[in-house]
Amino acid sequence: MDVTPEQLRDTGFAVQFDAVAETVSVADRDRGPNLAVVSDPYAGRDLLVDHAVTRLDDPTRVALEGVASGEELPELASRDAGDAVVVENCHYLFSREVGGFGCLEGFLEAIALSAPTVVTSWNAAAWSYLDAVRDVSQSFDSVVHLPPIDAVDLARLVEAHHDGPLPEFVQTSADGRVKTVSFDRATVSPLGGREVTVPMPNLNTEYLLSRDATETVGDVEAVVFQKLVQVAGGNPGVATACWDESVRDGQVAPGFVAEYDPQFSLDDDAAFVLELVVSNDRIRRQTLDQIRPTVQVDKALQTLAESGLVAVDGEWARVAPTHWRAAKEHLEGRQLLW
Amino acid sequence: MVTLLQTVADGFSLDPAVVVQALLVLVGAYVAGRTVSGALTRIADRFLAQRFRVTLLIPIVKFVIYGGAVYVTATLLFKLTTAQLVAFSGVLGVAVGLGLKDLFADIVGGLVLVTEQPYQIGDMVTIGNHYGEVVDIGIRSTKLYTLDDTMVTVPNYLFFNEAIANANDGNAEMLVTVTFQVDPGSDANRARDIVEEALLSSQYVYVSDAAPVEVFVSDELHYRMVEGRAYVNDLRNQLRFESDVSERVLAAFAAADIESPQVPASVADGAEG
Repeated sequence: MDVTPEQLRDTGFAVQFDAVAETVSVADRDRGPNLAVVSDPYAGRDLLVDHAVTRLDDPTRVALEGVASGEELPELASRDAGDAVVVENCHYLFSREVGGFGCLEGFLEAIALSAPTVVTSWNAAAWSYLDAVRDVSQSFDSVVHLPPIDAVDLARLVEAHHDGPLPEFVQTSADGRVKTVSFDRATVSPLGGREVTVPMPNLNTEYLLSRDATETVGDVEAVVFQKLVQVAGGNPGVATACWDESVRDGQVAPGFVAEYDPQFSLDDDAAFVLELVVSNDRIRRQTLDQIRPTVQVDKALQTLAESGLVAVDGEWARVAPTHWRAAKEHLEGRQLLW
Repeated sequence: MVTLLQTVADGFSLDPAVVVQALLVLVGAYVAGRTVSGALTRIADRFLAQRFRVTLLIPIVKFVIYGGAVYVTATLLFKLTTAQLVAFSGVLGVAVGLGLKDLFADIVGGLVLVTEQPYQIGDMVTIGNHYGEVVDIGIRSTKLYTLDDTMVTVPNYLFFNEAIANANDGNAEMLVTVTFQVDPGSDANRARDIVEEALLSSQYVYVSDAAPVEVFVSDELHYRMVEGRAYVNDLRNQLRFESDVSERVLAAFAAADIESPQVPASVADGAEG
């Protein structure tokens, strides 16, 4: 996603940018605040951290690149309240194994009541897991989540992201209409007092009311961005990646926006490897081997790569941006992500 | 009694065409019930852990289809007046009393199961001595698929007589308990931490505020027991969850020099004597 923090701010994230700025500006004489920036992969948390850095006075900045041993972390005890420390990718502070939580627990202990301002960034899936098993949110004064983007804001984001004038919006004969009905989940008690979650139809009234049969270009444009938001799950980075894949020879059409079905067949080991990849943004194959020595990691990665879910680049495996939503929905369906 | 039967017979139509129609309705209902049930099961499997939203409907749909078929068949075969209806009720009462009592109890049990729903298709339940996943709730019986690959058919009337334990109550996640015994001389706190981390790092675990991971240590006569409780993300992974946790706990125990309890010398001597 080739956009600046300011451009991302102007596409519906002003509240989050302001929350970051406000949090890092309230350091008092004794103690600076602890801030956690949480988002899905590709959603732009690095831009939010960049924004925090511009508000801090010469912070020490560390970006973790793999499962941390603790030596990479800056020392906190000797710093004053005016100091600031930025630690990115804190989901690398733990690994999903027996003995894999020590570094995280040490870090959370160190930032509790520490003097300097501490700005951290986290993968949203890892954050949800750690909040369930370690109450990680209790250690932060402020937690800023990046919410899903809507179609109108995505159109502005794509204008900022796209190199040169936007392509021509065309309607093709291929399928590609936006859904006029989507389904939300609601909890009801139909029988015996037991609560069940059922799909509730949700009409896309905005699209239905705005649709004008005599208008072609404007209608198609709205459909393209609506569909991009839908296939990207509102993730800005994923949406722009899908946009890049949808532009063909200077044209873009709803039918060019590829949809990926989350209902694919994965065995337990492949699903767990996918979960580790999704909840780490990217992860080393060696780390996967270390976390689960009994799992045939390369075989699982091959399965995931063949289905397009994971891109393997040398020693690194990362979730393919265009398949992120399908991967997330599949893992949520299996209750591997919460 | 003869008068009673004669009264009922007066309202009973034995026109062959009507009988064929009635049979076709029953066969059609059976095929429709099986088809809809199979289709809903396949749809449910696509929802993975959310499959219970669909399986909830299967017995209801089946009972509606079968109930409708019985009603249509009855209206085809019987043209009953009020007096004949009363007589028919009497005949039915006699039939139930003479030999159809269990069948009738099964059917009523099935109706109560559908309305009260002490369990639904997909739940892990204990009925009597049987523990397994409910794979079908029929008019007469419920089928359980046990952990040792056995299909058990339980008559529905047991619902009235037996306590039914439902381990998950319509959710995919289910509480699983794993226990380990360690030597009293070993570090029990370290053992506790290992069991907790093995549980919450398992690929099959599900954790939320309502589904926490808990570990308890108790002091027994010749050993310390470490008991871990956590929710498996899908009840179908119960054995895999237990195995995954046990393998990694035992490996970590070995690495941390946490030993299994030894048989005390006095007990061993006693056994030899």
